Amino acid sequence: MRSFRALLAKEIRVAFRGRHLVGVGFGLAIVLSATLGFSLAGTKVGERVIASLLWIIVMFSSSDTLSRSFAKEEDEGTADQLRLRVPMPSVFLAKTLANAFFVLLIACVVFPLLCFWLGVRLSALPLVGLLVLIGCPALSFAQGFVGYLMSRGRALSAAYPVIVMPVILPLLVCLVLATSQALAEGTFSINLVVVIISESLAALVAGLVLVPYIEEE
Amino acid sequence: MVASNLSKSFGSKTIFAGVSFDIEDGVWAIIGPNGSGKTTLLRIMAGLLKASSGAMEWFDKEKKHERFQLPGRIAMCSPDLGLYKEMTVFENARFFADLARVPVPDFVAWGLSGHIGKRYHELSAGLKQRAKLMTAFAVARDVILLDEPEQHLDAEGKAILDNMVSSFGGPVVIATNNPWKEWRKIAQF
Repeated sequence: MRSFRALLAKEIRVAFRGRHLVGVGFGLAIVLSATLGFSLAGTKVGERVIASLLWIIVMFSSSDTLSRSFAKEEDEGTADQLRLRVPMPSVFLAKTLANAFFVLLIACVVFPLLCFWLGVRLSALPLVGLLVLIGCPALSFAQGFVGYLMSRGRALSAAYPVIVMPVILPLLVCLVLATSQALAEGTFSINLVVVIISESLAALVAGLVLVPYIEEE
Repeated sequence: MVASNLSKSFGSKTIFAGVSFDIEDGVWAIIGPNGSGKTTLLRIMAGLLKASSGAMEWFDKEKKHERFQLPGRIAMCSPDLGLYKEMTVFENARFFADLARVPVPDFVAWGLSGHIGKRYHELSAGLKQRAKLMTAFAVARDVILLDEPEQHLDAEGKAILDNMVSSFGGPVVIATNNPWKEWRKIAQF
């Protein structure tokens, strides 16, 4: 537990002191939200469009934070230091959990901005907030293994959108549908949330199981 | 550590073949020119790389260890291995000590007490090497593998390293193309 805590704390420290998360992650989230907000302010925008914008901005702003973190460790020789000290599934889990926190922070920037610009009903906010709380870790878990794979095989990085699509697309569709329901009707289908949680947990478990095999090769 | 008939190839290029050794306590050296495969052999010994053929046995011959069962037992310092540049010398040392569940190393012994608050990337090459060596020695439990350990070190740094190598309890394996010290046991590679 002490070593896992140390891994988590290291991830957060390194991310906040590095330029990528703050400069690219938060920067992109603010620029995209503000651009869309200015462009669409005053026009009637449907709930499904608002939900799509919210999740697409969150996904793009956070899409490479995890794969970049894995790749950086390989480039700087710290990945091997970790391999010598702890099993790689622990590293994978710590990185994925820390990334879930970063995705949530990015969503905390995007969500209020979009709500402000696009005039989201205040009564819908608690439910949408709950979906953001569920959806951000889900996105991170789904991206985790693909991000790890990218760092192990640089030739794969060009294929990132192709590899990540089958994992991310169903999750994004469910998140958009549930969020648009919450915005329009003040409720959402519990089945969608079950699909979101199951898919993300399946992706996380698959990552934890497969990482040792990839390491072995 | 017992190696039997190890070989390593990358594609069609064979780096080395037919390497066998049996390492027990003491200081061991792998000496050879650039490109002779010293680092590759050390990485195989550390469990970071798989040999193309042959067998590598670690620790207990009765109980076979697989590579993925090694974490925490072998420490290594190599030019390819780095520390976190966003973290200070102290934070790096504490992080790796936490992973190994050992106390934070003695910064004074390594001549780093005046630099513990500096971020790793702010250090000179020699001080970076000291920080890496300090971390490796602090977390080493059974074996320590050193790849070109004297790289960038000044006379004081080399003296500290010599002292640490001599006082380490387990086997120390040094890969170098410049044997600046006569070690107790030398394995010519």
